[in-house]
Amino acid sequence: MMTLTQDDWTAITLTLQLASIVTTILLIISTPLAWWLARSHRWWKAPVNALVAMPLVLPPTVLGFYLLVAMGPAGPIGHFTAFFGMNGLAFSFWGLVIGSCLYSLPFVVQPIQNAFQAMGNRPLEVASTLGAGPIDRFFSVIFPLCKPGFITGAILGFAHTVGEFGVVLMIGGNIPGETRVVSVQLYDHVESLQYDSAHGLALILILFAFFTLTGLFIVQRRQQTGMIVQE
Amino acid sequence: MHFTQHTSNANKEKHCDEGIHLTLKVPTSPYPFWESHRYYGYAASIKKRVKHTLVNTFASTVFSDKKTALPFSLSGQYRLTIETDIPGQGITAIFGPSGSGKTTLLRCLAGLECVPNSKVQFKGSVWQSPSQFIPPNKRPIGMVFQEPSLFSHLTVEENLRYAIKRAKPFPSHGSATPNSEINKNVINKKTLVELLGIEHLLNHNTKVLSGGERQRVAMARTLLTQPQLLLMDEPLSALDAARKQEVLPYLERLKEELNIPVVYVSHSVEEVSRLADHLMVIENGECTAAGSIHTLPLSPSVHFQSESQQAVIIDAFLSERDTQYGLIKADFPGGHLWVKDSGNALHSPQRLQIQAKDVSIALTEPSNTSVLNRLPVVITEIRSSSNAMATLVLTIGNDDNHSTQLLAQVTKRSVDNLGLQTGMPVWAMIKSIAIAR
Repeated sequence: MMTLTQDDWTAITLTLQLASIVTTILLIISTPLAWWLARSHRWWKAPVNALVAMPLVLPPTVLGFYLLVAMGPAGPIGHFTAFFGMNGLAFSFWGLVIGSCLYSLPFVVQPIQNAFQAMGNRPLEVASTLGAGPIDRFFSVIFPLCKPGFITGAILGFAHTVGEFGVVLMIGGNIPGETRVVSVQLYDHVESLQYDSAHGLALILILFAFFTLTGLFIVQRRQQTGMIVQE
Repeated sequence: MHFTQHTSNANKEKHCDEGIHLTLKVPTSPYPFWESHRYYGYAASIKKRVKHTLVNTFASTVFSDKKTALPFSLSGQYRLTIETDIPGQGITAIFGPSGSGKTTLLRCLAGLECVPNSKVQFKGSVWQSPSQFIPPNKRPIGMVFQEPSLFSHLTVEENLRYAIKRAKPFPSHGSATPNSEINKNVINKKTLVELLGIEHLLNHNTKVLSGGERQRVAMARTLLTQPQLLLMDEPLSALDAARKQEVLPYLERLKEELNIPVVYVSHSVEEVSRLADHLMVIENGECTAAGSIHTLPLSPSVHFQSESQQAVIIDAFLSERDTQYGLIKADFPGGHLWVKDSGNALHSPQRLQIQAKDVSIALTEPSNTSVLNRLPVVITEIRSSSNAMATLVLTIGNDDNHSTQLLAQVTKRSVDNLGLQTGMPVWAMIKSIAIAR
């Protein structure tokens, strides 16, 4: 029943590659963004929060459509890439990375933001009176105390990128080894009535989702019990 | 335990700029220290890094302090307005009711609140001025918070090592020789761990510690950064009565062993009378009184104690033991008292607290009385406090430099019946003396 072709394996590798790159980029972007969202009192914090959270409620096709327009030869990103003599980002792996970053952003930002908020200012104040500078504070206090938030963010970002379909279809198209990720490959199988192959990929995705989420809830439970003991 | 030498030497060297100078105007919602650039711009920090370079001139012209015009000063609302000096030695208690601004003062001193138009100066070095803000991690301070605030991701030992790793070097105070090597281990871990009785906890997770234990670990951690100024924000108030009694003796030992100035915020009369050398009373964001713990309770304007609890604090010296009756003689300038022997060593200091209501007056030396402590005194002031009562200020000893003052609370009828007047020599009978330490 489970017959994975060479194409299927290529799609799986590509998906994992994409998800790893996107997760790494998102962790780097989300940390300062989440910090700002957790600490700022500026009035424009709410709109920024909404912008970050928008992919949660928007159909992926909307985001995909605008990205396609922007990355196309006539769009602003298209002009930018053309100016620097690069190929267009639409229908390319890196276009997919950008789209996935935007689309998975809230899944990484929000857990980290929550962790920052739950931590409060006190550990930072203590650390600074003990002589820790800003960078020292981040690595010696903020990161260890908010580690569950970072782990949750990373897991959700990774899993969500693996499971993404709409944005990929809109801006990535269906180029084998370049933009054809697992979800698109599965769609192709179904389209061409290759149900056996579709079963194989679908089962892999289900197992992946199940174990990822189990891992996630273990992390979260540990975080909660940790908090209870702390009180 | 010999970690006191440096500080005392340092104090001798510095004849001027001994203490802490504060001018604070704290708005209702100050920014946290990591947003200091909102007041000072990035220029202050840039200037600091590139001092004595051309960029300095560039920075000051380009980023001149545009941000000093502040929105809230228009409203004129301040949580705390204070201009004061805090002695650079001993324990200064900041005393006042909850919400009076005590903690805010301490946080400004630590640099945790970034407040504009304010000045904080410690022993000659400027920590904050309208053009400069030194962040808390660069101030030679140690702070003990109300809640113990140990890092929960580290064990007790690791919490202590966190502080040791980041121990603050002594600033040179303008002198050319930074003697940081000598001072590096002024407070060493082993001694401190013994002093605070936490050696058995070192390998524990902070989560299993009791409140009192956590606070002791937090104190050790703070002291291991080798602070030159220790700030304590109601360190005992989060503890129950029993834990408080457990930690207080450790605080007293710290006071005896370490020669660091301490600013101690408290609303507890008991803690203040046991620990403080100086007292500063804060009410509604203003300093209403400041002075020595021995003289300040004498002044009528101070709401340090309620009228019925008025008391004086006397630092005495134990000189003689009466083993037959279990008494010990406590000498103080102008006289002596016999107090219950609580087992303290002879020739050691002893703080006594005498409540005004425990002192009564006789015109002649009372001979047939059970009251053991009878002292010849002179009435220096008669204050009518409430309807029926009057408070007398009494001076023991006739030499100005060698006298001690007492408070006595008597009825106004007795004042009239005995014909008590200022300047009159009388006898004070002291019914009970609390050993404050």
